Amino acid sequence: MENNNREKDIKRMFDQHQPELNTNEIWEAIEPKLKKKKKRRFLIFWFLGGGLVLLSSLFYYNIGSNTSSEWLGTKVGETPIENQNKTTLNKEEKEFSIATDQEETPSNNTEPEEYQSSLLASAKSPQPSSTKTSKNRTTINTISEKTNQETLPQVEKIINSKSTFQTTSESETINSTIPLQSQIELKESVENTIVDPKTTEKEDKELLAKEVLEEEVLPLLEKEEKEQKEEEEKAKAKKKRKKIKPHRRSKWEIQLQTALSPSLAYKNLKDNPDIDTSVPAYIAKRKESEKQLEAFAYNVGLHFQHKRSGLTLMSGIEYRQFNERFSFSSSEVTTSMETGTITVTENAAGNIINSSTGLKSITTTVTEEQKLYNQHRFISIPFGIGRIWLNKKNAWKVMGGFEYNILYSFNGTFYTNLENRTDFNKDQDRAYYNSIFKSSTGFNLWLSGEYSRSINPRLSWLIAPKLQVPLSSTTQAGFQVKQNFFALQFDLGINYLLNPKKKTKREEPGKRRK
Amino acid sequence: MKKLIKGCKELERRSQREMVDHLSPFLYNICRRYTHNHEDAKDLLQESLIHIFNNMDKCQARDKATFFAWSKRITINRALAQKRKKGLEVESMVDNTHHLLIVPRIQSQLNVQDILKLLHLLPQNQSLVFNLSVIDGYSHAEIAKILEVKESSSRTFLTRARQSLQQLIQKQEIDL
Repeated sequence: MENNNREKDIKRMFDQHQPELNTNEIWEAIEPKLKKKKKRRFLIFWFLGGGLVLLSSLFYYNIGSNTSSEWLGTKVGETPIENQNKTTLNKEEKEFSIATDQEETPSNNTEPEEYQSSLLASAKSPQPSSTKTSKNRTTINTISEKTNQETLPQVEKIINSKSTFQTTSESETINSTIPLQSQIELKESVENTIVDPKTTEKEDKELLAKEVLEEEVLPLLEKEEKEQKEEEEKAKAKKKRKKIKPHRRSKWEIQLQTALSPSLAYKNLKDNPDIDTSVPAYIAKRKESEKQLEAFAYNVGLHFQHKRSGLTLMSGIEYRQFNERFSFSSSEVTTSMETGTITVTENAAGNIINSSTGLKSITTTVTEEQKLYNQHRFISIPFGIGRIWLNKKNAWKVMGGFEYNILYSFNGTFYTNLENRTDFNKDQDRAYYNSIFKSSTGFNLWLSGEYSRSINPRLSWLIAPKLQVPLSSTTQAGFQVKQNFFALQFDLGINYLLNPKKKTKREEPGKRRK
Repeated sequence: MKKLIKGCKELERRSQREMVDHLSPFLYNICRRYTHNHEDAKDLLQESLIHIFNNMDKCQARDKATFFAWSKRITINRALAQKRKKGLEVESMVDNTHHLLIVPRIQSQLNVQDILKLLHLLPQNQSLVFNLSVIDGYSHAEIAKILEVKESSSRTFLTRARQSLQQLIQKQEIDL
C-alpha cells in the first residue's frame, strides 16, 4: 500500500514537473531536418522529365559521334581506294587492321605495300563471311590515332615486361570481340585482314602493342558498355519495382454503386401561373384519364467516402421511367330507318291476328373505351453529399443533393384540351411535341437514406429509399398546365469497393523483433 | 490544439514551432527518465520531435490527449531503440551506494532530480521496467513485448526494482 502511494507520488511528480527548456534552441536544431511542404510537385516532375529527355538525347548524340571518331578503321570500307591508300599509308603506324590467318596467309614474299593494298581491296569488296576457323587468327582492330598516341608508351612498357612473346607467326591466338554500336562496320574491318609474311621484330613489337592495346582498351570499352547496359537494366528494374510498389493506402474509399429501383410516382398537374386562364376542368379531365402505374429507375454511380470524417460524395447517371395508363371512352350514336313490323294485334289467346309493317328509326349507341400506355423517361446526372457511419459489417448513409436532368421524353397519348387527345410519338409532329414538352427539365432535388451490409471485403448489398422532388416542370412555359413528378424510389443494389484496404502481413506471434 | 495538429499534418512550420513549445516539456520528462543526463535527454527529445513531425501523416490523433499519447509512445520507442543500439545490459545490482550521499533521507522530501538519480542507480532493465510500468503505465504484457522478454521476467524486474529502491533509501537512512 505504502509502495503504491509512493509510486503514485513519483508518477504525479513527473507529470507535474516543468523542466526549464529553451524551445528556440530545440526548434533551431530540428527545423532543418523536418520534411518540407511539397509545392509545385508537378512542375518539378516536368522539369525532371524534360531534363531526362535532354540528357538521353545528348547521350545518344554522343554515342553517334564517338562511333565515328574513335573507330576510324570502320571508314575504310566506305572511302575510295585511292584515298584509303593514302590514309592507310600515312597512318601506317597509327591505324591499321591486321590479322594473320594461317589458312588465308598469302605467300611470305608479299611486299608491305601490296599487302596494304590487298587489305584495302578486300575492304572495298567485302568477302563472304568466313567459315574458316578463327582459332589461329590474330586480329588487331583499328584504334584511333589519339588513343594510340596516348597509350603507346604504356604499351611499350608492357611489351618489355612480356618475355614470353616470340613472333606473331607462331599463331598466338587472340580472339577479341568488339561490342560497340558499329558492330556491322567492325565486322567488315575484322574480315578485312592482312597477312604479314615478314614480321620483323620491330613490327612484332608493334603488333604486340596493338594486341596489348586491344587487350587493355577493348575490355575497358566493353566494361563501359556493360556498365551502361547494367545501368539501363537497373533503371528498368527500378521502374518495374515502382509499378509493383504497393498502393498507398487511401483515406478515401471509392465505391461503384448500381441499383435497380422500383418506385412510386405521383404526377402533379397544376395551373400554369404564366398563363392567365385557369383550366380546372381540363386538369380534372387529365387526372381522370391518366393513372400512374409502375415506375422504376436504374442508376450507376461512384461514391467517394472519407474514412475518418464519414463525408460522402457521389455522382453518376440515372435512368428513370414512369409508366401511366391513359384511358378514354367515346360513344357514337347512329340512327337509321329500317323496314320492320310496326304494330301487332293479338287475341286473348295471344295469337297475332293482325300486323302492319313500315319504316322505323333505329338509334344505335356505340361506346368505346380504350386504354393506352404512356411512358415518361428521364436521364439525369445526380450529385450528392452526405455522411456515412461505417460499422464492422454494415453501414448507414444519409445523402442529399440535386440532379440535373439531361433528357426527358414522353411517349403516349393525352388530352391536349377538353375534347381532343393527341398521340405523341417521336416521329409524329415533332414540332407540336416540342411546343408542349421540354427536352431537358433541369434541376431536381433528392434525399436518400441507405443501409448496406457487406457480403465480402469488396461487395455489399444495399437498400436505399430515396425521395425526389422536382424543381421544374416537364412542360414548356407556354403550355396551359405545369406537370411534374414526385417519386419515391427504393434502391436495391450492390456496392463494389474499388480500392479495398490491402492486407498487411502480420508478424508471427512467436517471432521477436530484432 | 486540433488546429495545431492539423497544421503539423500539413507540414506548416508555424504550427510545428508552436507544437514544439507545447510538446517539449512533456517529452523531455520522458526522455530524461530514459537517459542519464540532460544532454542525452535533449538529443533524444530532438530526435523524437523530428520523428514525430516527419510521421504526422501516420498519426490518427485529433485531440491533445491522443496526440500526446502517440508522441509519448514514439519517444519511448526511440529511447528504447537507442538503448538497443547501445545494447541492453542485464546488469547485476552493482554497489552504487556511494552515490547515495545525494539522496535525501526522507522520501517525502524527494524531488524529481532525486528520483531520477535513484532510478539511474538501478540496473538498466529494472529502471526500464519501473519507468514503463509505474510511470508510463504499460502493462507487463506490453513491456514484455517491448523489451522482448517474458512477462514473468518483467514482473520480476519490477519487483526487484521496487526492492532495490527501498534498499537504497533505507541504506541511506542508516548511513545518516
